[in-house]
Amino acid sequence: MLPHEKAMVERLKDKPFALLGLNSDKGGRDRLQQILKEQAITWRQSQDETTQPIAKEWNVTGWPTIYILDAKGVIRYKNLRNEAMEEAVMKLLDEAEKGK
Amino acid sequence: MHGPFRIAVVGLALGAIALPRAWAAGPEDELKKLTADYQAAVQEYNTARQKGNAGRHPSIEFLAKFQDLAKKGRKSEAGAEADLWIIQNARFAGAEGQKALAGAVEDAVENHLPSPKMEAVAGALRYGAYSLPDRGESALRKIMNRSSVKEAKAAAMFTLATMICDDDSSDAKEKTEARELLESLAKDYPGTRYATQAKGYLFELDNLQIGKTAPDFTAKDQDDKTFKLSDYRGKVVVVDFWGFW
Repeated sequence: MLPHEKAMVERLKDKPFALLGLNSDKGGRDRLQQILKEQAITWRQSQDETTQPIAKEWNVTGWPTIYILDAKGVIRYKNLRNEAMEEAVMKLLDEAEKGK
Repeated sequence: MHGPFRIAVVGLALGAIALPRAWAAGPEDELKKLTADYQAAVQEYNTARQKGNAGRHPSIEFLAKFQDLAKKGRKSEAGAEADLWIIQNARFAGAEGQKALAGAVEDAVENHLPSPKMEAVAGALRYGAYSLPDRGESALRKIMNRSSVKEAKAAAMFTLATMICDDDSSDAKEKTEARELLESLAKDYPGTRYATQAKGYLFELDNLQIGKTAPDFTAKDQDDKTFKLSDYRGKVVVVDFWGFW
């Protein structure tokens, strides 16, 4: 998952695309900073705090849980990983481009 | 005639000692011992694994023992508990485990339907039943419709509903049933964990389906900047709930 995400973020850096990480690791913000540094993760991340309010609201019961949203904010795909995730993102980027 | 007579006497004496012991060890005692033995075996297995020389997972060896106990305990709670053990542990025991799982589920609903253990059985089926041809659905429906134990009923409803929700291939009719089950849990079982969790699943059904606009959230990023999901309109977004563990 991680290596592909890194490559994908790099490939799409000039496109209207964002990867948002909501991290559920225990250990709070310090632990997150440590992981981000160790793993050289550059994209936007939030430590979903220890009580995980967003994960709870979104009823996340397994990790990773992935939602892919189009440019209008509509959920279009769920739980695709790696190549399948990138393919879906490319499709939505294409769609956004045409919709302009 | 001396020889055989003496042997018979010795046999009788041994029997007299052994028999009461066998009687004393009812299914409840046997269950206790078996559970303790299993825990010790798992501990041993884990220690060996850390050293890199573990053999087979002990659940494989214990499967037959719990099956035997389930058979002997058809009329007791120990039998229900033996079935529960098999349902919870079958996944560690490979192909044998899968076979035993089907048998234990059947035995549990056939012989122990009124037992309060059915709550745990229904709960275990959520993660354990994927190898069953019907994912445990017929067993869950039996518990749901026929158990008079409130918690067992709720657990069966919850497992059935979440199995439908978690399966991306569920159709509209199944999703309607899942919604009805969850609504009933939220309404009829107030204060229970089933009600709380049902509400989470209802939120997901209402707001997090493909085709819905994602609900907004506000979060703080690694640089302490606050952002909203809705800040990203105009961009394709992947929201990734993840853990490095």
